[in-house]
Order: sequence, then structure tokens, then C-alpha cells
Amino acid sequence: MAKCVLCVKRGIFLAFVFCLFSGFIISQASAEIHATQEATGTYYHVDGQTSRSFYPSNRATFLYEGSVDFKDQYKDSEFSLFGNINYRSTNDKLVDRKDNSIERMYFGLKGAAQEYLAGDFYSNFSEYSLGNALKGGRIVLGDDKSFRFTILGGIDTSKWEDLWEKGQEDSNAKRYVGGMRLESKFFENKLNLNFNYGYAHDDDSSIPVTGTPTNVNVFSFDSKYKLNEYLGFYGEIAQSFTDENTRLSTVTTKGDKAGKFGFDLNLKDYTLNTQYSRVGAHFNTTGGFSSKDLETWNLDGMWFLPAKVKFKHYLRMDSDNLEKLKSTTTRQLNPGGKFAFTLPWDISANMGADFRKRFSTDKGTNEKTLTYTTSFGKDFGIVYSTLGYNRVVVSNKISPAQERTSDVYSLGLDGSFKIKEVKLSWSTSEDIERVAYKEAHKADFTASTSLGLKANFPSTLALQAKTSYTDSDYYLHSTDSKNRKYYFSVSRNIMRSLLKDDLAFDVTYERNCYRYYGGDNNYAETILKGKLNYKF
Amino acid sequence: MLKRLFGVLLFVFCLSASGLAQDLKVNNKEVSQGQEVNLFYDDLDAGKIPFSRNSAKLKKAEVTFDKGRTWEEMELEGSQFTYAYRPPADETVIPEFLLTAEDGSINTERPNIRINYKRQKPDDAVEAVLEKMKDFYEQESIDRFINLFSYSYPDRVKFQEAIQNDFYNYKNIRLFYRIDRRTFESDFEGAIWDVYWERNGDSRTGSSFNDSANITMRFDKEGGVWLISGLRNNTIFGSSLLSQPELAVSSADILFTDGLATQVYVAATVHNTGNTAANNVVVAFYGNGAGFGGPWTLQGTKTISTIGAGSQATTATILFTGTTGFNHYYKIVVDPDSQIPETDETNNSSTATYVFP
Repeated sequence: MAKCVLCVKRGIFLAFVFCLFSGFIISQASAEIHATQEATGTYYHVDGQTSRSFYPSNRATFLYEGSVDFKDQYKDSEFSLFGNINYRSTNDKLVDRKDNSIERMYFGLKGAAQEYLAGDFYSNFSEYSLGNALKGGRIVLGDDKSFRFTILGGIDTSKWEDLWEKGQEDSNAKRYVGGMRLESKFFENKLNLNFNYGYAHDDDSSIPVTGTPTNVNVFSFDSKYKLNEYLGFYGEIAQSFTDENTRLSTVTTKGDKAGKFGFDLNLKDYTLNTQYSRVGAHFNTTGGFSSKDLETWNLDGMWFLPAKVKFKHYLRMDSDNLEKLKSTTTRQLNPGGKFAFTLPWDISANMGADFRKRFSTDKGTNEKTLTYTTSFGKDFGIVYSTLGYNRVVVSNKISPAQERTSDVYSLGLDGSFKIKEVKLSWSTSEDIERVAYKEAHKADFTASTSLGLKANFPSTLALQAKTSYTDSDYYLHSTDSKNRKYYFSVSRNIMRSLLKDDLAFDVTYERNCYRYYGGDNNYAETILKGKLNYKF
Repeated sequence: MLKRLFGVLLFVFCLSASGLAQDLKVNNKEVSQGQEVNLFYDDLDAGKIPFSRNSAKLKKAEVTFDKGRTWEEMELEGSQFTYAYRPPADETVIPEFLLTAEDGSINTERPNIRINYKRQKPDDAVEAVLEKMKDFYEQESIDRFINLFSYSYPDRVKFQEAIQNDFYNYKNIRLFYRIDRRTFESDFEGAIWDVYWERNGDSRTGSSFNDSANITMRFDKEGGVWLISGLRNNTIFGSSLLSQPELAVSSADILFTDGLATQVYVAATVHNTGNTAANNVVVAFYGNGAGFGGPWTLQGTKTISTIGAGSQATTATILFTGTTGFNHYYKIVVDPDSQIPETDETNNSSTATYVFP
């Protein structure tokens, strides 16, 4: 039986490869193929407290990655065949848990008003319905000018496991997803009206025994209306039904709603984007990216003032516990604004402030953060300089130990110049941060310096060197640290023909040193990498 | 008659248009009418997109990339008119041509070709976001870190507060990521990637910690910049504020053990489906005697010291007495005083029946 399943899996894969390549076997004249093959060898070495590092203490690894893109326009047909396959072979567990794997593959047929796709794809119907990356199939009929219908189905899982490759124990949960979307446009495309349906079912076997597999059915209407060149409206209303734990003998289905409405105003000197949204506590989408139990008002504006002054401003307000399911309600308020203008001698300047407040009805949360931002930039021709200053004041009524004021000064310089045909680019920066704690009457101090240099020769030979140094001196000295990082690389295109064949190499050396208070946890990492890349 | 003439003209126009389009090459490759071409900086020579078209029977050829506001004259090289366009940033290039024939007649050719030019390949551009995310989080640079997230990121204000909380609570943070899946929308304007993240560092007092998560990340391209618009299964970024326990109990979790005659021992298994441990979980046991309708009477409480994230634990037992042959009803309430903040407080109680033999 297991042999039979394996045969079926291999059959599917071989069928895919056959479909992918049959196109250009039949009509090579119009086929377009791009391929990249890359072989990398890496050597890791860690000194000192090796358990602190993510890298192996002493190991050499290999990695081979390949990608083939294919497109074939049939001369007597409106259809074109397209496809892609990315594959990988490695013994480096930091890159992939498996020795051999297919990273991405898809193929399809595309016509003027239709598309058929099988393999890996990402579809995003709307914010409150379906938005998943799937392994499966999708059919799109119609075009984006008047009417379009999309139907899809597949598995939301990170790997081609249990189809072609053997599953891994630490793989993500799997979810079966299906859905459809109907899109229509009216009034010379000024009005879009769309209907979405999504279904998601968690695969029980991929959820731990303590987890709760769910079923989600979600329906939504989304719409956009452009009244004129100044004003446009948009909105979406959605209803979801969720079976909260499908493992139980009696499954409870909870329904909830979500909705949003907004408009965009575009005047000559002023633009404003507003949005109101409300998402119920038991509302679910198939993708699981939307917020829950939250009511939000957002206003974002930009005012173009005389003398090239721009004033960006915003107000964000939200509140949770919409259905009073929790013992406390938390509210958030976030107004802010920033001026951008030009000073004499062509100095660009930004000045702004941001205020953020979170507080709860049970007084268990009461935090405020006030941020002032100032920055200046000046282009001197051979060098561009930026100078910035930020002040952040945090107050916390519940946890006074967190009350602090942070001052950050930053200076950045970068430029490029040519010596004969060699282009040299360089950059340097210095960041200094001081955080003063109100209750402790003490301060943390951090200084970071970085320097980079790159030389590009006409032969495509490129040399790059970077270094950075960070010294963190905390008032709780047990966490003091000093980090140094060095990076050096040499790369060059060895061959570049008229047919766009490209063979390039890249050798990099990286050393990161971490030193901590007391010295027991000190460690240093060395990573040496050689890469050969061929593409056509 | 007019309809027929119109039909013939349309046919001739389509034929001529397709014929012209077949002569056209973009980046040294022949393109056809209405074709969509994806080009990246790496595909170009010196950052320029070369256009060329057959010069047969033509005296002059001009090209526009801004719907005719400005025209650039193409150079004659052998049998081809050529022009190399340098896109200043990511853009959709739609070329149109103004062709002057040898007899002086002028035609506008619109091959309806869309060239989607992107400076960085999407894979590289999104990976650069991950690299910045790692660097800015390690550097505890909250402004730079939060600017990697879209304004439409769900509950962005709380997320920003949570990141600020992380930087207060953790020091010497180091991050590692491994990309397990890269999927793009067909127009390369959106992506979903599965990324395994691992974090280690020190708490404020110097004790080391390490955690990891398989995070599904959604990216959207806004104004030419890739931004993070959603995180699923995120138990790393902002964990010091966002992580909450989620306690739940169902009727199947109420356990009965026969005692002496007319006695039963009741215990409850409490699940924590949240992403952080719950401590000192109080569980209240109620009974309402035989038959329906009686008031719930608190029989006692038991405390579970810790229930780990994604784990479960069972209370010690409470002894109830009843009447032989009758149904007795029992109710369990977890965290009756709502002392533990949770996402959902509605799944903290359940009832079950027991018939005394």
C-alpha cells in the first residue's frame, strides 16, 4: 500500500515535470525559459560559549538550489503555458530541515480572459475573507474590466509534504482551504462590487493533542466606488461561522461579524484617508491575519503647504472588548504629526511628534509614550549627510520602574566617487542612545559605529567590506555587552554572453564577536561562504 | 455597408497592429500584441530596457512612455530603430510608437504591451525586509523596526507598545530566521512566507532565555516598498505584552470517580490553548442537587499552580454527596473572578450530569 502511495506521488510529480517541459519540446521557437542554478559551500566555526550561538561549532555544509521559469506562447492560440519550479538539496539544517525538497512549483495556462493554475499560489480575496498561500488549484474566468470569477482550493502548508516529500515533525499546522470570488464593475468601472466566500478546515493530524482544530466559513461583500477624481469610498461587510473545536463530540459553532468603511479625499493641497472598522471577538478569516475584538478609527492626512512644506498627520483610536466578554476594556489613542520642509542651503528637515496612550477600564493598564523626532539632511555632492535626534518619554502608572526617557543622536554620512573606471561607495554612521530611568535615577548608554566600503570595477569585480561596533553599558551591569562584526566579500561575473548566460561567484567572510559582562558567555562566530551562480 | 466597411477596417487594423507588434523586441526578445513582460534590474544591461523595431518602410520612429506627453526619437541601427529606456524606479512601462513612413504618413502604434519593471527581484526585496527586521530588533531600534510594518497591520498601536515592552524586558537579543516557504501573488504585489524564527537573549536581570516560532508572514507592496501586513502564529515579536493564556473547559473535561455510597469525587481538566503559561488558576466547583432548577451552590475551589502554553492540567478532587438513582448536575468555572486576562472569557465554564448508582 505504502509503495502504491509512493508511486502515485511520483506519478504526480513526473506528470508535473512532463507538463512543464512538454511546452518547449513542442514549440521551442516561442518558449521563454529562465533558469538559475546556485551551489554554495559554507563553513561555520564558533569559539567560546557555543551554546549561545545559532550556528554549529565546527561544520562544513553544502547547498544546491535551482529554479526554472518557463513561459510558452502558442502561436495559433490565445493561451500561453507557464510554470516554475524551485528545488533544493542541502545538508545544512539551518537552511532546510530536509536534505532534498521542492521549495515552490506551479504551472498553468493563461488566456486573454481565463487562467488555470495548479501548484503554489497566493490568493487574497479581501481583508475579511480569504487570504492564503496554497498548494492546490485556481481557475479565473473573465477579466478585470467587467466581470471576473475565481474559484480555488488547496492546502495551506509550508512544504510539499505528504504529497512528494516525507513530512517533518516540526512542520506547521495544515489547513484545507477553498473559496470563490465574484467581481463585477459598473458605471465605467467607477463601482466595484464583489462577493467572497472562504472555507477553512484544520487538519486534525497536524494539530497537537492540546490544540483546537477549527472549521471556518466566511462570507463577505466588498465594494469600492470612485465618485470623482477627488473622492472615493470603500467598504466590506463579513460574517463568519466558526466550529471552535472539531475534536469535541458536540461542536459549538460561533458566528460573528466584521466590517469596515472608509473614504479617500484627494484635493490639490490636501489628502485624507479615513477608515472605521469593527471586528467581532469570534470573527475568523481563512488566513487568520485579521484583528479580533477591535473597533478602530483611523485618519491619515497630508497637507501640502506653501514653500514646499508638507504636514503629515494622523489619529488612530481603538477599543477592544466589544461584546463585553472580558473583564476589562482596553482603549488606545495615537495622534501624531510631522512637518517636512527645506531650510536655507538646501537642508531638508523633518520635525514631528507622536503620542501613544493605552489604558484599561480596570486601571490595570495605563501607559503613555511621547516621541519627538527631528532630522536634517544635506547633499554636499560628494557626500550626503543626515543628522537626527529622537526623544522618547515613557510613563507608566502601573509599573513606575518602566518610566524612562530615551535620547538618541544619530549621524550618517555616505557618498560615492570614481577613480578612473572604479566606482567607490562608502558609508559611515554613529548612533548614541542614553536611556534615563526615572525611578532608579540611573541610565543605560549604548554607542554604535558602522563603516562600509564598496568598490565596483568595470570587469564586474566587486569588493565590499563592512564593520560595526556596539558597546552597551546598562545600569544593571549584568547585561553589559560589546559586539564587533566584520564582513568582507568578493564577487564577479565570470561570463556574460549575448544570450544573457551569466556565471558569477561570490565569496564572503563574516566574523561576529560577542562579549558579555563577566566573560563566561563570550563567543565568536566565523562564517565562510563560497557561492557559484549560473543563470540563463 | 458601413458596418461591413467598419469590420474590414477593424480587421486590417488588427492585422497591421499585430504585424507591427511582432516586429517589436523588448530587452532583445520578440514580444506580441498585448503581452505582459516582467523585468528586473538583473535582467538588464546597465539598467536600461532596450526597445527595437523593424525599420522597413519607415523614415523615422519615436517612442513615448508617458502616453504621448514626451516623445523620444529612436536611433537607426542597421535594419532596426532602437531606444534604451532607463526606468528611474519600479514602474509599469507602456510604450507607444509614432511611426513616420517613407511617404511621409504618420501612424501611432499602440502594441498594448505592459512591462512590469522592478529594481529588486521580489525574493530579494522580501528577504531584505527580513534582514532589516532582524537587525532593527537586535539593535532595539523601535522606529526603524515598526516602519517595516504596514499602517494596516492589525492592532498596530498595541503591537508598537508590545515591541517597546520587549526592548525594556530583554537585552542582548539575537535572532535567527529560516525561510520555509515563499509564495507570491501573480502580480508580485503581495506575498505569504513561512519563516521559522528563533530568539535568544537576556532578561533585564541577566538570565538567559530562548524561544522559537513558525510564523506565517504576509507582505504587501505599498508605494513600491514591501511592508509586513500580517503575522500568524507570532509568539516572538511583542511577546512580552501580546502573549496571553487562553483557558477552556468543556463537559468532557469534568471527571467523576465513584466514592462510597451516595458520594462522588469530581475533578476538572483545564486546557490552556494560549501562547503563554497561566499561573495560579482557580477552579470553582458548583452543584445544584438532584433534578433541574436548583440554585448552584459553591462546594469548593481548587488551584492549579501552572498550566503551560498549549497544555492542560487536572485539579485535585472535590467530594460531593447525592441521592441514589437521581441525576445530579455539576458546574465548573475556571478563573471565576477573571483574574487572568484571556482572549476569550466565554469558554471558562461547563456543566455535566452524574447519576448516583
